[in-house]
Amino acid sequence: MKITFPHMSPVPVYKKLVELLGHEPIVPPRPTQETIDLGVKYSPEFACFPLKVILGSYIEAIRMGAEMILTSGGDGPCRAGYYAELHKRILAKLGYNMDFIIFDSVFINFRDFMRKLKILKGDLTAGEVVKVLKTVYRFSQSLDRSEKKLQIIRAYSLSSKDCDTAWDKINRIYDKAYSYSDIDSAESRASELIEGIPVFRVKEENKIRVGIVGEIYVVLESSVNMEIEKVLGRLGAETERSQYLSEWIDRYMLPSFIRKAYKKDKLDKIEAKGEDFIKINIGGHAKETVGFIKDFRDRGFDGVIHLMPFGCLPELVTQTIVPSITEKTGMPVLTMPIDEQTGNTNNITRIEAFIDLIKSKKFTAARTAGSAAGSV
Amino acid sequence: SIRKKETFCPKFLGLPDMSISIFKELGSKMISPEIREKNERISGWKNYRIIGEMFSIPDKEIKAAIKKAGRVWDDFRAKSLRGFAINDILQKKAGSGADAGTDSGGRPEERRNGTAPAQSSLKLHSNVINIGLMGYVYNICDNYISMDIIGKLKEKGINVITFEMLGPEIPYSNLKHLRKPLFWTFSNYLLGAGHYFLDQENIDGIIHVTAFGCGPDSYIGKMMELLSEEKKKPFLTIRVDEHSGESHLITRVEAFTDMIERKKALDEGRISLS
Repeated sequence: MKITFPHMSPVPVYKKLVELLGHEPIVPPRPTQETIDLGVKYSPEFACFPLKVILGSYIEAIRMGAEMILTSGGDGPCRAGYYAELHKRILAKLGYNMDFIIFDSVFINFRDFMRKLKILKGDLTAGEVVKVLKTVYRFSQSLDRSEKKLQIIRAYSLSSKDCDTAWDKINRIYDKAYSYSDIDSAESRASELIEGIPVFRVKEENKIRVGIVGEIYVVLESSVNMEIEKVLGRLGAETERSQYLSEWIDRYMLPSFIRKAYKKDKLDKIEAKGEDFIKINIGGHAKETVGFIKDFRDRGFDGVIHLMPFGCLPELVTQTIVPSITEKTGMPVLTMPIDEQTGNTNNITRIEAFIDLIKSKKFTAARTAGSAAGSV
Repeated sequence: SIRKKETFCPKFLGLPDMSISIFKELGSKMISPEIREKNERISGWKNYRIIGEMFSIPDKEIKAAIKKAGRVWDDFRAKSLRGFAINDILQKKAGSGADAGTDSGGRPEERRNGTAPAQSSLKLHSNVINIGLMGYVYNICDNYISMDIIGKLKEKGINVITFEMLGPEIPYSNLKHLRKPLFWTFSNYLLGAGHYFLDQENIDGIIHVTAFGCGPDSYIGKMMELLSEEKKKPFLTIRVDEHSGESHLITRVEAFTDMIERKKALDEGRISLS
């Protein structure tokens, strides 16, 4: 069966999952202006931006021969949980009657989950499926770890090209990894490659660290967020995201008792930090976003960039609350709505100005502290 | 939330928190009771305990006030199920004894056990134009926001049916075929009502009144658009926003109803194209 999935980085993880289950993956092309235009054309005007891009990706993948779509579901109140249902209807209208395999949270409807798994698993035994899932989980964790390392080095590399070539190589190495030992050796190869990137030295106190928070699709998918990590890296800022696929799996796919037993409940704790500003669960990543802004502050980051898809309901609430978070915690936050406009210059100007401001804030504070200490 | 596994739109859920962070002086003055009920009557007094605590009102008075409010609600529901729109009820066109608090409205057996009637006693006649109006209560029941679309339709002699007139059972039974219903209670009411309208022969057209930027409605609108095409039922979307000019609404509604009128006349053989 030819199976496709939404294009949300890190794509190799989904590809691996489909391959290991014995199907042929159809990897949708990296979203371009054309993808976005296709999606926008057939989506409702006020749908959120990820719905439009993903629809565009589906259409492209179907044209490449995909027969089945693998995606996630949800139970609201965020609209993302209903994406697949709407996509299915819109695609049917366009004449593509696609089979969807929707993974709603495992334990909401266990029987339904098993039924879908049965279609997917083909001839594999239950034990083999568990092994596949565990391998893919390890794969996504390992890939995320390598990426985190790279995003720190990126800020200090002599040429941003070095990082890009290293990341391409790393992806190719991971692409060939199908077992635990492959994954482990891929990770150590990746570490070597990352450590081999020529860097200049920056004193610890002069390092700038920026957190990236927001809705998962626009945070993860570099093709729609103007490759924000590269932009920030070029400006000399280390970055860390609030969202990583492996952590999302921890949070939404693992049942809570496993989560607690293996100390994978990091996101639960961070979400609880958001409660001062958003009391109840309003869906999406709103509470997490607020929690992460506070978490980044507690960990000494210098600023936060908040990415929200245009039309996103929960992030709109967060956007309104952000100024008062900044006021109360002193954490500089720049909110950037992401939409189908792919001209980036205005956004890059805003990011440059933001980085200049947080640098000047940091160094002025350091100088004042220094001169105060000198005068004693 | 008044149903299991259902909730409200994220923007509404976030509204109290948003307001607090915008209007700093509001702070402790925000009353936002959390409603957890099994039906739309939401008159369990525990939901409103917070009000008593904030203003030190004794439980007894709160209970009495809620009981009275519940009676008014039942009265309103009974009348809307008989096909009266909110303005008719407010202007007491919907029959005698509509005063709040008096013992009226609702069938006797319903008044005894304190539940709102679940069955709609609505009758549709094919000799007038019947239009199904989809829209949230805060849009269509507010004359200013909806620019009195119900009144404008009625002036033209059109019979308007809203989701309230159907009661909770009809919309939900019309959602059963969905693999997955929506997450939002009122959106489910609307979508279910929309499905019902599509299947009723006597409903001549559907108008969807939606607020600019409404998230759930963007989904409902698309689903209805696709279905209405399939079922050959005229469907019109009216988007309301901060503009208060009414002419565009009048023009569009007139054009829509004129087309329906024409179609009806053709179907019934009152006029012919040849």
